[in-house]
Amino acid sequence: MPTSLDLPTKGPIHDPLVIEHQGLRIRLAPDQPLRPKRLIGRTKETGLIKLAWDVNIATEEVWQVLPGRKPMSIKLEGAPGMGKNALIEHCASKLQGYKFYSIAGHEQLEPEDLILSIVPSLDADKRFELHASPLLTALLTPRSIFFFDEINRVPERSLSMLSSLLDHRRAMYSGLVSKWFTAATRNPGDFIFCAALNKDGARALPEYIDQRLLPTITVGRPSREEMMAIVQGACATDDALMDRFFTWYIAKGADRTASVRQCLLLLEMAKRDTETSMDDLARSFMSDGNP
Amino acid sequence: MELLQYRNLYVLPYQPLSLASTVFVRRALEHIRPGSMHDVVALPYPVNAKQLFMERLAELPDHPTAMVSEDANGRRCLVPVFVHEPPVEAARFAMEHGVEIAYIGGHVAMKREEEIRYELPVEAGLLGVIGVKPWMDIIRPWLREPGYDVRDRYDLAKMAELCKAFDRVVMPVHVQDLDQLKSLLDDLLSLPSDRRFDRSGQPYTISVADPKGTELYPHYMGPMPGLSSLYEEMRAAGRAAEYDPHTALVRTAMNMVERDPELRTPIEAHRTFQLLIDRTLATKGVTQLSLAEVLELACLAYGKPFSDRLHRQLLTYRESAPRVIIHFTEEERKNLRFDNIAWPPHKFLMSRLRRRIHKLVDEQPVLERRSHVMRGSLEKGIDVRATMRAAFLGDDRLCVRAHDRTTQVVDDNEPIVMLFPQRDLDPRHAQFCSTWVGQTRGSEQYTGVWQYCTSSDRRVQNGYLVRQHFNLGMVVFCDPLLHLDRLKESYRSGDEMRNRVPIRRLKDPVLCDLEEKEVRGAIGWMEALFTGAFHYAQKAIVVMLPQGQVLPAKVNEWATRSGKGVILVDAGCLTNYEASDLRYSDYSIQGPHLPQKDDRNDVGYLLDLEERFRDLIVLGGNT
Repeated sequence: MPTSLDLPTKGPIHDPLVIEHQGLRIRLAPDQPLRPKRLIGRTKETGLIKLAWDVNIATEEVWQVLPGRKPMSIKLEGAPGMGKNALIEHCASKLQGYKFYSIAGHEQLEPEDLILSIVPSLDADKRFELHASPLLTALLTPRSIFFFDEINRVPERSLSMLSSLLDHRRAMYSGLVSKWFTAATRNPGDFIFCAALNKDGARALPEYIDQRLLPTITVGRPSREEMMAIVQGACATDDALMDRFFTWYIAKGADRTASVRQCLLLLEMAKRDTETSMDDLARSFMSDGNP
Repeated sequence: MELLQYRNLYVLPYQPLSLASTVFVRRALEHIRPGSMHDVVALPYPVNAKQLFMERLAELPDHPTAMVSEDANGRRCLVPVFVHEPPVEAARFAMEHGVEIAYIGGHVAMKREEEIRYELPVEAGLLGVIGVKPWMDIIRPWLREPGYDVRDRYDLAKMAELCKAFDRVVMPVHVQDLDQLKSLLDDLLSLPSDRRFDRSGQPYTISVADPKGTELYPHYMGPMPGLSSLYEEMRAAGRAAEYDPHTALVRTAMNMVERDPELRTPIEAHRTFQLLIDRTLATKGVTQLSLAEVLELACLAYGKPFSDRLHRQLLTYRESAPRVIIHFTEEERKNLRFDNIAWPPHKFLMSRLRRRIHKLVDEQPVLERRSHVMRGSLEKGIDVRATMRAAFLGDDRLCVRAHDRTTQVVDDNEPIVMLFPQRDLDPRHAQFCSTWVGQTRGSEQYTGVWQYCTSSDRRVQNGYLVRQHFNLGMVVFCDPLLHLDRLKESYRSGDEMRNRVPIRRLKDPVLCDLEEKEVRGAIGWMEALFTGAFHYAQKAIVVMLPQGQVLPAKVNEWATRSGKGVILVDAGCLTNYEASDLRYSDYSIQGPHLPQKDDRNDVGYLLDLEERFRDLIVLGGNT
């Protein structure tokens, strides 16, 4: 019986996702393709992200991080369904040549899930494979953006891995292979880290992580006009549905309580079920019909 | 920045009421070094303002003043004696260095009675004191309308005389007067010029906005009193020329943190703030940021609570006590009654945190130990006792220990006890007080929050007393922000509500008895709070302790005595700011108030209160 993990480090590489790094053969995580879609409203938030990333606006559709500039590691704060992910994906899609990676945080996320994990190999002549997390993949890939969603749901012992990544060291340590992994290039603009969190019902971030994730951009509720534009985008031709929706929206004061996600879901249900009233439909997934 | 020179005339272009411009004038003067006897500083003020101006100048920096005058021909003159007014800096420099001062402004009558003294000399605060229109009337002389003539504003003949009589003449000139002044100088000075008027180094790009546009007003007034204070401090230390308005913003934030360790702001936030300021200036291509822009950037770097405090700090000039006028109409004044009102935003904070804590309690995982037959994983190890028990019964399979995560459901109406760190508070000076909810006049009045706190009467202004409560501990019996009708909906019946929420503190026999015992020394304040909470709890109380503090052992005794449970919540669910605000932003305002509506928590009334008294709390409260 082998006494060590017997990690494969030799032989030809056929897979583009597999790399040799510090004598280890590592399978990288695939990047997340971004399809740029129109973002309605959020001009202020987009402007703040531009400011934090210090991008040069070649055109409104193409942003460039200038060489030597250091994008800040921003964190977005806001209630669920406010479009934090959409906002980040929208901004990330404008950065030409950048690959996008993300992880959704949860309470069971272990430190190795954030760096390097060892998994049984499907290949008959190998026993194990090293899999890089999307975060490590982003770190090892020049020109990449990593988005950590729901970061405050992650246990502190896992978050502690980020402290060395988010300061001047720009490196992570894997206890599994006893190695440091540093950013692919020296250019600070080649790796952008951002996170999102919803403060209600979850823990506050540990102070040492919180202070490494600055500035904090609050993503609030869209205005009534923005919501109207979003809804129009979702059911452009159906005036009757629009009327039904906005009668309910205004009567219930949903502009102060409902999230965009809830409103779009309600619209989707109303499209399919024209018999049931908006109120009843809303009641099926919002307590007392009130979001 | 470069100064402009026309033979022996040194022109210092300035933007009025601008700290950046003031610093430029200061640096230029230190560069020119005008000396006594041979040089003169020419001020763009009328000569008849001399006596009044010098009197007021002597009162700086403590008492900033502005003087305004208008002559029979409708010409107006404003003389702001503020530390951030560039000609004032020139005058102060001249006085300190024994340089002669000349007055070359247009001759507008300047009488003592026309002097206006502002106790809060800037921006939003001043607008709040005198209103937008009066302020616009005052600064209109500075907003150069198209077609004005600089000959109305400068005594050019006098200027020519000065140029002949002195070696060097240093003159601050309103930046918008430069173009006209340039064309007049050749004719009026009639001096052989060996050096043409040099415009190449004009230091400002001025966009002349529509003076009627309201956007312009606050920008025109530019500086923030807090920065003027900082400039004054550096000036006193002989480092005025080193002052940088943008570093000063970060310096102000850093000073706040130094003074109030509760803020616990990381150095990284200061760095982020500085970077954001630099990037905004570069992106927008401007040299100054407005107060609103500064606060938005502060909000990004430090968060909203810090930004609010920075706002107060930037509006505070030399820590002086600002005067805030609470506006009531004539009709409203007739109905004012003396009352003591809890500050609505704190009620809002309490309400929000109460909901959050109950939600956290419901989501808090409870680990339940159990064991089961091994199904491939050793989980938390072999349960030897269960395995042996099974073997004894003929089952030879292994049993392993496991932990199941379940959640507990606690009634949302159970009282919450919050304890706070006592490090800077003396419980001997503390007393009980409460925030009540329900009918303003009537029998249905309930205690929403019962707290043990020390108080500090911070300011007495305009007949109002702002009292700040520093809490040692509190019990939240119900949502302190709810209208009585909504509050009743939270309980199954009126009886249930009466059993679970004490009536108004001084009428409730249980609370009165506990307070009386505490005063006698029969029990401690903590025992009183916990006993009160247990009395009104159905099954358990929720306790939130300061981080790092353990539950006092006696609480378990009191729980056993009452037969109710204790559920602990980690204070880590609150951010530093929330914890700090919970403890330090608890204000009450005593004084003449409009009569309360039927319900103590009438939404319209609370919003109106916040609107009217916001400045009093922001400026008169704890900074």
